[in-house]
Amino acid sequence: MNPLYQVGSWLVDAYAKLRDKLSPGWLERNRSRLVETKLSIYVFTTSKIGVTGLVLVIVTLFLAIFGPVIAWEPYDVYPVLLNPDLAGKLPHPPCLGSCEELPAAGTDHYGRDVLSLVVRGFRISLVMSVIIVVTSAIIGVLLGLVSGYFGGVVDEVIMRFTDMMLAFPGLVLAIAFSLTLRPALRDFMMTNPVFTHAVAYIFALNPEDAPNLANLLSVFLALIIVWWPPYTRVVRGSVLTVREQGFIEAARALGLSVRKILLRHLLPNIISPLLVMVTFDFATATLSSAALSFLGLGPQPPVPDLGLVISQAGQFFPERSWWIVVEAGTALLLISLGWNLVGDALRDVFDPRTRRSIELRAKIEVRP
Amino acid sequence: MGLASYLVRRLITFLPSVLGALLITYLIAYIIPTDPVRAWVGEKLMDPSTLERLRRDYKFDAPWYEQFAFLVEKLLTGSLVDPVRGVPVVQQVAQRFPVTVELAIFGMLFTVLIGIPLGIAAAARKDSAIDFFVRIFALFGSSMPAFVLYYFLILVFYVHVRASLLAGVPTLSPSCAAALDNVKNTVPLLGHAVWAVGQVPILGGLMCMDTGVVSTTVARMWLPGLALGLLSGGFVARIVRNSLLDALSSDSILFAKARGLSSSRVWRHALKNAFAPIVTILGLNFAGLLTGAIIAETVFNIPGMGLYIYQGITRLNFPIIIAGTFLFSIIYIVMNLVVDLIYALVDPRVRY
Amino acid sequence: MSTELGEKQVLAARDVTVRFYTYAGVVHAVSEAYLDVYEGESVALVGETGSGKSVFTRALTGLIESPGRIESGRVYFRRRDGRVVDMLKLPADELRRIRGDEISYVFQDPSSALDPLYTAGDHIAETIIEHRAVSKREALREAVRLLRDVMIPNPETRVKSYPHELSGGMRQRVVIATAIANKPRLLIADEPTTNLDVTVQAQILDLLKELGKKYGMSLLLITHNLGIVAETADRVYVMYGGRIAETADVFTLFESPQHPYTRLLLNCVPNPMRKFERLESIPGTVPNLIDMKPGCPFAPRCPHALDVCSKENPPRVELGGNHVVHCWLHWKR
Repeated sequence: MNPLYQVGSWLVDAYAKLRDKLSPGWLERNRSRLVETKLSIYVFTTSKIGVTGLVLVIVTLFLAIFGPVIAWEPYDVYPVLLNPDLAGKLPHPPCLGSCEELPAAGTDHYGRDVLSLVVRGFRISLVMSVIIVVTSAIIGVLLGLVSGYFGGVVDEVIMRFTDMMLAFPGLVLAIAFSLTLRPALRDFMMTNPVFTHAVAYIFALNPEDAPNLANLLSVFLALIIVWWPPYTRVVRGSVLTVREQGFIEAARALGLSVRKILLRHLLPNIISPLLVMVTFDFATATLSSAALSFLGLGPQPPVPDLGLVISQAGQFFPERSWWIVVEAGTALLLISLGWNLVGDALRDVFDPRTRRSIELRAKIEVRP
Repeated sequence: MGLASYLVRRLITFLPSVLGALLITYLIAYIIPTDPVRAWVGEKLMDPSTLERLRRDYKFDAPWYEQFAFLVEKLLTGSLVDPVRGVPVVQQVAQRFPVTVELAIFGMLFTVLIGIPLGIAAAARKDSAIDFFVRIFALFGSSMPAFVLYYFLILVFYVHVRASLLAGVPTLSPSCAAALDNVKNTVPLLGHAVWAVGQVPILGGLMCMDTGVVSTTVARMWLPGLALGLLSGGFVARIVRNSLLDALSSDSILFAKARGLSSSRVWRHALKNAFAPIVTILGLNFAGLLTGAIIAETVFNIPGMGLYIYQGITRLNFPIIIAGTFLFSIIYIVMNLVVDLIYALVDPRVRY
Repeated sequence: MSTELGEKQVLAARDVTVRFYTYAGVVHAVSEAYLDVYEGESVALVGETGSGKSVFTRALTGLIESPGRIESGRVYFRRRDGRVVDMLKLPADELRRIRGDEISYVFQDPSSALDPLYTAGDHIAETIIEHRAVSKREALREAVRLLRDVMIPNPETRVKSYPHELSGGMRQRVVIATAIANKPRLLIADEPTTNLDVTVQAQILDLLKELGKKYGMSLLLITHNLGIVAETADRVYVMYGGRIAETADVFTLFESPQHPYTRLLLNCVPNPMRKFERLESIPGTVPNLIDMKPGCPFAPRCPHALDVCSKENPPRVELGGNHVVHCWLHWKR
């Protein structure tokens, strides 16, 4: 067995033991579910793609959390202002070892160390993509559950609305919303310093820079508005399928409350495809928010948004800024790739055929 | 019956959607609490009376539904005018849309050239090295930030190897344009269609056998086309692979083999059956290229609809926004119809 | 060339073993199976699901794909030109020429066998053109004739019909028409009536018999339905767990079955003339073919199992007059 699986398996066992201590007999009742979970972990850890993705995701998470702390240069200080004779040499290409006080990884046209910016950029990218996807998923799933379960007028209204949203090219709509929301957000943030500080803290940015934070948030909210419809569609579809299978009628006949039916019977059935969708969406959201920043709708300098950094480098491209594009671009690539690889492996994990074939090769047990 | 009535039915259901789309876009733009007229005028100093006149012309003093009706009416009669440049919107669209179509065509060409053979190869040699490669290629394609790839390709093919053009939009030669106009004026319905198709420089150039236009267009568009192809080719390859494998494992393929059909006939059966999902994906891809190539247009400096709409939105140019939305909705509807039509042609079960 | 093939014999399969290499282990689908088919006769291959009958019949023309592998065996076939070939030694191309031309298949589910995007005429014409040098128009005309042969009304119109426009019975007739298009020597029908209504079943079986007589075709019929065996077959092979358990001509088999499995199988068929309390069945389940150990596959369920039955493969015992059984109970030391 591979070591990664052993770690996962040990975790499952430990969790099982704990639950069993709290409520004796839990382990026996949930034995098959535990075995299935272990199988999922096994299938995932035997996939080269999955493990590589997991490594990338862990690195991304690490840099996102600790990036602003370990970054060695502040993002809002422009060396060129402090040291005007640098101006002619900027942006300076990377030089390994031999360039006085200039950073080894190259600078941008303000004189900032590109690598340090990129490290800071992970935080923004990750926070944006995760919150966008999770929020839209929650909204979308709830709407889908409601729409599919209640049917009738409720369903019609929700679906018409969803279809209309889906009919639009997402990027265009996001641009429009981002612009719409900006002034309102700006005002709101000016009058609510607590909120502004909270946002600044999450993104590791300067709370004084309210307009830029507003820009950031506008992109963020715009993407959420555009992102939820596919979830509603998918969830509603699953609900309708499950309905046809008669679970719901049976549960209703037994007198179960609506909430219980939705949560305990529907949700587990759709959790697997949802999980895969969410993982892939993390990658897409990373790229979409970077794209919006690239077009200039997101925060403005000095915020170390990866998309912004690349678009700023555009003016000096290629001879005088290729390293900026390479460094920031690779960061974006690796973040998305990590999520995409994990999502791909997860899809295999949940595919019954591959599961069974791998299961028969391994012997999975839960030790009491 | 059959096919024609099917088309008509589809058309009717989509008209309300278009109207709805227009309404939503309009409302969004309307909510923006900035003075649009001021935005249109920009930094220029304007005397207040001109501003007032503009406001009255575009019915800004009227309630929102009147303004909306006004804009829609102007749209449908083709008399919508861009206030910033004072040119009819229709004219601007007529200039820029063919360019976007051209970009989309090149993008589609490369996507198909890369995706379909790779997908077939991956299906033919399942679980082999090429299969794995296709999987990785697809994953990279969806993880790569588009603009980074564009810059990279420009770096390689324009800076280091002067194999591409990055400026200018080739247009039809005067003789070719005149010939097309002729067709439009002489032959009724079909002539208009031919003329419209001919407005896209590459297509018009091919129709007139104008090597000048064709070669400059290719030089200009092949690089962005390749970029787009690299980004979506992998995904298409995976879809092709999966639907081919599904088709190949079906009972009708077993029966075909049991009848001793040659491998090329067997593959023909499989490909025909695998067609449907592939056509859907390609159709969606094309529609996406037509409506969402903003970033490519920005980086490669292509004056198409993407940039046009983007500028329209950022400057709150209502007529452009309305016209653009309308166009995009039409594109999606037409694309859907075309895909459905292709289904109906290939699959007899769909027609009834 | 081999003398294994009698004068009036069409096919002789010997010692065929097929294994599937899967993640779960090695599946012994078919082990040392054999079969003889003579001119103009109907042979039935009987067995439960999982007995290996389908795999065996597909292996006869090499129609097995990875992860399956034909490990060993010889399948002698007398071709139209009189030559006798071992099909398992032929190159893939030769085999392909035999299939659909000299040996044809009819499968269980006509709805999935027919390609929904091709018309009935397309299927037939395609099979004809593949094997003979005939123009498309001529092939379609033949298709109409064949549809008439399989008793489809209005064949001129039906030839342009798509599968979804035909009923189940008609679809199976179309499949049969494609199978007989090139007048094969042997028609292998794998449960051709299982998916059809009972009334249609009888019609299809009668049709097969008639066509056999009319075209001088031998019929290899796979089924689990003993009623069909009694009606249609001249000789019967009983398969269990991938092995041939017993073979005899149909009367002998029904009157004095010797293998415990055959006996129990016949017991299961209720006699509508007698009153009875319970339906008989054979206790136990289908054997696990994965990583099979030597021994009789029926031993776990056999009411008369001996010790040796679970240890060694049962021997072949000739009981005279075509009747062969593979069972330790009949082994005289």
